[in-house]
Amino acid sequence: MRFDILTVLSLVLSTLTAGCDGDFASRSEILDYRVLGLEADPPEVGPEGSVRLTAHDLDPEGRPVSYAWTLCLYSVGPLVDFACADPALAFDLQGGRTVDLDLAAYDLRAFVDALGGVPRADGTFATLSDGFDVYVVLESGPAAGPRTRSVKRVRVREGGDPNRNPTAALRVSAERAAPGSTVTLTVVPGPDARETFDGAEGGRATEELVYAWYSTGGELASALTYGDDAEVELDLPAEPGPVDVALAVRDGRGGLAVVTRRIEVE
Amino acid sequence: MFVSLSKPDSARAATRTALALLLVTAGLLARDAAAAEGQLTRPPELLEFVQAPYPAEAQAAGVTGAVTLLLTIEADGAVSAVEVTEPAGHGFDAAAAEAARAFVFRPAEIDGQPAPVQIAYRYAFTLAEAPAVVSTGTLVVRLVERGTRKPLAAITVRAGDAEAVSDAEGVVRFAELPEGPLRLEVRDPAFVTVEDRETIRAGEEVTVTWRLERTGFADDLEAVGRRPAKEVTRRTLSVQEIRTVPGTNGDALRVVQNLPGVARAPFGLGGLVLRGGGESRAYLEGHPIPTPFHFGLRSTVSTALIESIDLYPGNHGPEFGRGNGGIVDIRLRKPGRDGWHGYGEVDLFDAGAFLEAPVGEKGGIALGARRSYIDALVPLLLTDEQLDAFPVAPRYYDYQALYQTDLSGGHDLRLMAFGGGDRTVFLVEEPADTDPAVRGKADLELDWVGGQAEWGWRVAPDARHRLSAGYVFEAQRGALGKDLAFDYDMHRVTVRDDVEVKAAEWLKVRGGADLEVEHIRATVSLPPPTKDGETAAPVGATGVLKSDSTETWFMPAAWAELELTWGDLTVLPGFRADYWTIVDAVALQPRATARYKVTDDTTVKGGVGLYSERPDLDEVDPVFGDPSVGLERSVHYSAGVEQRLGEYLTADLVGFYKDFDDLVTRTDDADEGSTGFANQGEGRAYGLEALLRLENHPRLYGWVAYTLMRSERRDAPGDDWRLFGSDQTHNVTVVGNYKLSTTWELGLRWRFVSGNPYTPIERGTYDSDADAYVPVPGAPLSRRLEPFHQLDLRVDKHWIFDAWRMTTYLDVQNAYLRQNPEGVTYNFDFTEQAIIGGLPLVPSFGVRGEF
Repeated sequence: MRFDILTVLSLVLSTLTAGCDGDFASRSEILDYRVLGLEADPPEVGPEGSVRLTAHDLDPEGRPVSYAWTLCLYSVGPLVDFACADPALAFDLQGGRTVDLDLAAYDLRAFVDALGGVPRADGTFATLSDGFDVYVVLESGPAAGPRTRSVKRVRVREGGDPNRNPTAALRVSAERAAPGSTVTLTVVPGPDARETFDGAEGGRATEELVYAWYSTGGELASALTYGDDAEVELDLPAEPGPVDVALAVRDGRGGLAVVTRRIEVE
Repeated sequence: MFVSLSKPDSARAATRTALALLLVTAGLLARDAAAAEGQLTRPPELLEFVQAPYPAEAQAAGVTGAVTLLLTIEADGAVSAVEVTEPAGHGFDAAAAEAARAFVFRPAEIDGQPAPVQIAYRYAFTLAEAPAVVSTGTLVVRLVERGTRKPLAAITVRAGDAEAVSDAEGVVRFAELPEGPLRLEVRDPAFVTVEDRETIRAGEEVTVTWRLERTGFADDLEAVGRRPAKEVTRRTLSVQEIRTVPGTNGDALRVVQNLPGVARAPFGLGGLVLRGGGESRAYLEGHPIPTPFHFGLRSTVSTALIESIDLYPGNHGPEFGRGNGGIVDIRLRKPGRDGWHGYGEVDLFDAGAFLEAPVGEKGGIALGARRSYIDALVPLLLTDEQLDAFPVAPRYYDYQALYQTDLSGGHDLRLMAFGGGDRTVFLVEEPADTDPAVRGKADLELDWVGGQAEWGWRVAPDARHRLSAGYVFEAQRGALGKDLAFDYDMHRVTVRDDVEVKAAEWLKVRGGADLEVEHIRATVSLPPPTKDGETAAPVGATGVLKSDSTETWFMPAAWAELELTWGDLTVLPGFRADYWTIVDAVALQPRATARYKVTDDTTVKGGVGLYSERPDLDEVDPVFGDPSVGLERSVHYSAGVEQRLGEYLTADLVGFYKDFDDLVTRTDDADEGSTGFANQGEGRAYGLEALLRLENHPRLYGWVAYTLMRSERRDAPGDDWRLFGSDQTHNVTVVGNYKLSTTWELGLRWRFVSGNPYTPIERGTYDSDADAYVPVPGAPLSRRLEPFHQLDLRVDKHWIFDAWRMTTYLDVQNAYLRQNPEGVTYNFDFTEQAIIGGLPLVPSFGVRGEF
């Protein structure tokens, strides 16, 4: 295949036709157990640093959920389901919804030295100062419900200005509302939510925040908004009851914040 | 006394002259009493006779007669009174009396003195043949076709008893035709019979122009210059077939998709997958076409310039190379030299114009251009809000200019320039649930410009040399959102030198060299391309790879072929050698075909050959691929039979097997220094192609094409065989076109194609950073969509005027509204799937005026 117009055109066509069956539920509707995101705090750490991993998930039925975490020092990537390149590079992590990961236990320096640099997809090799990703895999779900396999990259980099998770608050226009009414959800990014960083092309760049909206009932006007588009409307269901809404804020560099609120429909 | 008078001789031939006989009887009567007593000393003497005109009625009836008159002659000799005493009728009486009144006599004398008398006078009318007169004239008849004004050669014209055949200019000349009315007639089965009368005038040349109307509407019913077959399989389409096959809008390369061995492309888009895969190449007079399709919709070569298209689904000769698939070879026609011609046409998508004219006595020029007007319609059809999503509506255009001339000494020259472009910009504001990273502005642009020059020389009656060169510059730019972009420029120079010599009755030798040089600069930021059988992952999960490269491919080749004939057996051993830089590889490719004419109507044939192609450009790119990968190779086998079944029907049955080796596939592990590609794959494609074809019939053409095929791949040693992505077990196409009359045509196309294989998605893994589920595929291409079948109908109406003609057509695709499956789509986490349906009923309307 050539690098040609059909490459991008096919991407666009697949985008335009994906989910074109109107019967699919929107990704914003939480109908069953769902992982909204895996948070690594911090998302970028030195080779001997510590990271707290948190699974942000939501089960409309409130069932107990089990978690099984695995660390893979080098993954072959998404085209082979994030398989670990070698079983010797995979490690089970103990914990529940939250796990503390101490990277010092895995001697990443020796690992990088042994490889002569961590291979990248473009055929180059990454050093500790360049930074590379270790992968965290989570198998989670309620005992009698769907199991979800989720993956999170933790950036390991020595030196530089490490990325931080964004902070944000979620405002709802009404915590109690009538059935069938509409409420407005507003994200309020924290003062330091949009970081500036050294761009790949050189120069400084500013993060663009991406907001993913979820609800366990009703219908959201948009599933994703970006940047300054910080509001979305929620049409509440006709039946009374609690509706949980969630917002996942991503900074495009592995940083994540998840905020949830509850609206009582009565 | 009897006097006979006749008119003097004249230039006319064979006239009839009325003769008047004058009879003076001896009976004279005195007019008055005074004279009655004297002695008649001298009778009256007729000095001036007056010829009476022969009455037309009597002459036409061939009647003669005599009128007896009583004339009163005065003393001065004048006739003062005339009385008809014995009438003859038929107009004779009045004619004779009128003439007699003008007689002049010497008066009679009584006793020596002039005196009035009365005499009886008998005026007789008789008919007699005049001597024959020979007088001739010349008639020139010029024959042109009504509507096109094209001169009509080899048409027989009858002029009276004479007969002649029109020359190449459509002119027939009759000399020395007898003067007078003449009956003319043209009676030819291809044209409406014409009968007329012309009057030939002596010593003059009369020129008439007749516009003959065809009984059929045969645009080049026979492919012009159809070459003898030497290959196992070569299928040729004529201009008429190209123009009128339903569902193709007269698009030449899309019509090819209706022939055996050609896979159907999803959504009816353009694409060439021949006999189960391998790169297939499209050529324009031996030089590769830069971009065969606009956005996959319309081909980039104007049909007006095309004489014919040859499809070689496999086992082609050594003159073509650099591909493991098949060949589509477009041959251009010579611009017309019989005057100015052209057309303008408009259909649902675009408008085009074409003009051709003679240049000198032996040359001609043709100009064509086409532009889409979807971008002009979009602002009229969309609301302002919808319009915001289309900053630049899709548009495409192309143009061609062709000059060809015959030169003295058996030389000929062809020059061609062409170019075109595609552009669209639109906004993806709401990304798909399955790939949130694909959003933003999509800006796609493609432009190309180039030319060809060809010099041909018929060195001797049995020897021909052809040298040609081509140049193309192609630029492609695209961007989607902030992460996806490519910027690609290519300069390609191609040179071909082909020689053919008939060394003996049993031996022809062909050979040549061809060179392709590509200089490519590419700056790319794209996700890794998916290969056959692979499932794409969201861009947010894979990320993009960036590459900035400049490279030059130098690809020389040489080839030779013998054509050996022993009686009914023809054997063609050949050889081709290719070299590619970058991969630094040589391919030595022996090939051979054989044809044996069992009877005049039956030919058996077979062939075997080696073929090669370079890896895809992304596969050798140091970022996207692996520079160490090498050529992909294949062996083609085929055998079959051709059978003529009557005057119009032929059948062609071919079995084939293709063996692919050294296919570049992705390795499971990323080796140090590479990104996981190797020449470790293999493949096989085998099947049967059948074609039953009706052609050369004045009112009907069509064919039934059936391909039964299996195409499989194995991505690595030890892997299971899997289906190829375009494997279509059954592919049936029925095409028919019938001329109801000289002005109405009906066409249909019905297709049945096995559904394409697809890879089922078992589940999705949630990529938290991409906020998207990455599909986890099941066995590659292990499921198949439901079959595709569709009926397309077309009706053409022609109006033929003296100097031009107009055609309108209505083309309806998917006439019975079949909801054909074209693909599979999933919800955001791949727990639900749905079928993507094809286009519903698609009507298309076109108008064309040509002169």
